[in-house]
This record gives sequence, C-alpha cells and structure tokens, in this order.
Amino acid sequence: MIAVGSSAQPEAPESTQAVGIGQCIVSNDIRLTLVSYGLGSCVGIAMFDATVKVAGLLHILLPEPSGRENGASPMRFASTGIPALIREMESQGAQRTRIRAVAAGGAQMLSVLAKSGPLKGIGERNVAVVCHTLEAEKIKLAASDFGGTSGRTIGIVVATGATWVREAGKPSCDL
Amino acid sequence: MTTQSPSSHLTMRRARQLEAVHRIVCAGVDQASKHLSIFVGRSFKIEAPRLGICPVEDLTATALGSAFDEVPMSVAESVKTGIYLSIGGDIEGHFLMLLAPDDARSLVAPLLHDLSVPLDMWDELTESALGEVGNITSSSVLNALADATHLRIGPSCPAIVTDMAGAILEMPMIDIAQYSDEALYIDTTIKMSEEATPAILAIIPNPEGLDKLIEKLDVAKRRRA
Repeated sequence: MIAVGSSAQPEAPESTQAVGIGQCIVSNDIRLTLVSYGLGSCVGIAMFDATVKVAGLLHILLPEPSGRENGASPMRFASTGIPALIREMESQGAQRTRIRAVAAGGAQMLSVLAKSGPLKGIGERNVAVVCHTLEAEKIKLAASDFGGTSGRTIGIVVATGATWVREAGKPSCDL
Repeated sequence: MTTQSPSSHLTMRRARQLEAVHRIVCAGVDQASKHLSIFVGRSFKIEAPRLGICPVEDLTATALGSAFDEVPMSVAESVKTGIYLSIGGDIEGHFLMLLAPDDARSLVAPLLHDLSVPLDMWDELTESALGEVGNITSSSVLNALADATHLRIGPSCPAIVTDMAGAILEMPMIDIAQYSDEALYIDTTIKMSEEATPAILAIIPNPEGLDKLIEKLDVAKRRRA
C-alpha cells in the first residue's frame, strides 16, 4: 500500500503517521512524523529529499518474493518495495540524486528460530537485500542501525528529514 | 468464532472445518488451565479462545489490538514478555504467549517465593519457570489436537524474550508471509485468581499444517458417522 500525504499549513500541530508492516508512506506534509513501530527482523527504510522536503518510510518484512506468495504487495519485500518507494518519492518531486536514505532493523529476535529452518538469519538477509537494492538504485545509505537482538522503532520528521531510532526502554537516538 | 478479514475467501465449509479446530483447541486450553493451576498453586484460567483470520501484515495490530487495551499501532512498540515455542512434527507452526512483563513475573512469583530463591537468581529462574508455563500450555493444546487427528504434533524448547510486542510477533508472521497472505491465529486472555490479565496465547499454524489438520479431522468425523 502506498499512501500519499498532502501539503499543510506550517502552524498546524505535529502528528504521527504509523507505517505498518508491508506499508509505504510518502508525504510532504510538514506536520507529520512517519513512524514504524516494533521492528524486529523487519527493516524500516526512510528516505528524504531536502530540496523539495519529501519524506518516505517503507516497512519491509522479507528480502524478496519467493514466488509462493499469491498476490502479495510489493511493499512486503525489500527488492520490490525500495524501487516502489523511490518512484513514489520521484512522483512527488524528489530527485534520485538528492535522496538520502536511512534504515534500521534486521534484528534476530528469537534465537530458537534463528539457528535453523526457513527463518535462519532472516534479519541479516533482509539487511543484505536492503543494502544491495539501495546500491543498485544508486541511493546513498547515509546512516543505519542494523542487527542485534532487540526490537526498534524508527521515525522520520517530514519537515526536516531528521531520523531517529529507539529500542525498548531507551531514549531515541538520532541517525 | 470470528473471522476478522472482510476480504477472506473462506467458504462456509471452511468455516465449519475451522470450528472443529476451535472446539479441540478449547478442550486443550481447559486442560492447560487445570495443569497450570496446579503448577503455579493458584487459580489460573485461560479464557475461551477466539479464532481469527486476518491479512498476514495485520497480524500484529489485529492480535495485539484485541487483547491489549492500547493504541492499535503503537501497541507494537509496547514491551511484553513472550514465551515462544515452535510447533513441529506432522504440522508446523508457532505457539506464543504474550504478557505484560509484570504479569509474567507475578504469574510465577509464588513458585519462586516458595523455593526461597536468592534475589540474584530471580531473573534466571523466572525465565525457567515461564518456560515451564509454555511447556505445560503448549503440550495440553497440542496433545488435544494430536489425539483428535492422530498426527504427531509437538513443541520445541521454550524461548523467553522481553521486548517490543511487534518485534516478537514478527518472527511467526515472517514465516507465514513466505507462504500465504492470510494468517490464522487463536488468541485468548488469561485470568489469574479473579483478575483478568490481558494476554495473548497465539497458535499460528503454517497454511500447509492447517490443511493437514482439517483433512485429518474430516477423516475422523467420517469414521464416526
């Protein structure tokens, strides 16, 4: 799903727009902060073009389609979601050469699932495909917070492009 | 039984088949309540489970939103303690209990007080006791399903994790999302003494496992007829 925000009055109060799993939201509404809550192995990819003040946030679940899914949204996957996010940024005036990306997530939450089976190393695989796809699309990954064993929440302030990440019980850190 | 997705393509027949699964899970959950009450030494009741189906991406918000009285999206960030076991054997899936960390500790606190556990060992033994809660609950429910279907179904060793609820629920969800666009989950609330504790007991079978379960139940039903 792609949702599109609209321009707003600068004096309007700030509000938070949640970006759920398999969702992508692109906005130039300067009141908004886009937030993906509780990322585990998933990765949140935030993008910003400072010249036109367009921000986007994508919350991917898996690295790439396996072919067994039936009509899954491209936003579920890093390999298809990232190009879709870039296209939506461009359609709102962003230019690929100006877009700066920041990403967080790719943790391994349950060690029992991380050691064997189909979910082995899923966090690392998500991160690898995110980095590879950004490189292939020639988008600079300016900062990242990947791996570990803790969940994260990532946010991007549309007005400034400031991105932050926080773990459970800890204060937010700028990225 | 509730189906949570208006876009669900389930037929009436499928709904009836799922009701059969639901009945067996209810019987298993009753058994789990009895065994857990004995284990923790006080009244412990897992309420009648609800069976839900939702788009796989909505699993976190739907399952968490129905159990915890919190803002639906940010509930993914709220810290919970998860007791997780993989389901293996003839069918595969995920078994997860999610509670507020304080509730998880108070659930097993009577056991540790009785053992006069030194304070520095409290965390380790709390995890161990919570793992046993997971073993007892999952065995009761999975045994009920195995008895009714003659399938081999068993839990893995338990894993205990305290972190953001969304991040914990994500692992089963990622697994299901590799095969399917819909997730079936069974969730419930837990009542300790007279106090209802918002909690989730989520049993999430892989789609192939669910089909196998239903097929065996149909065979068993035809034999009885």
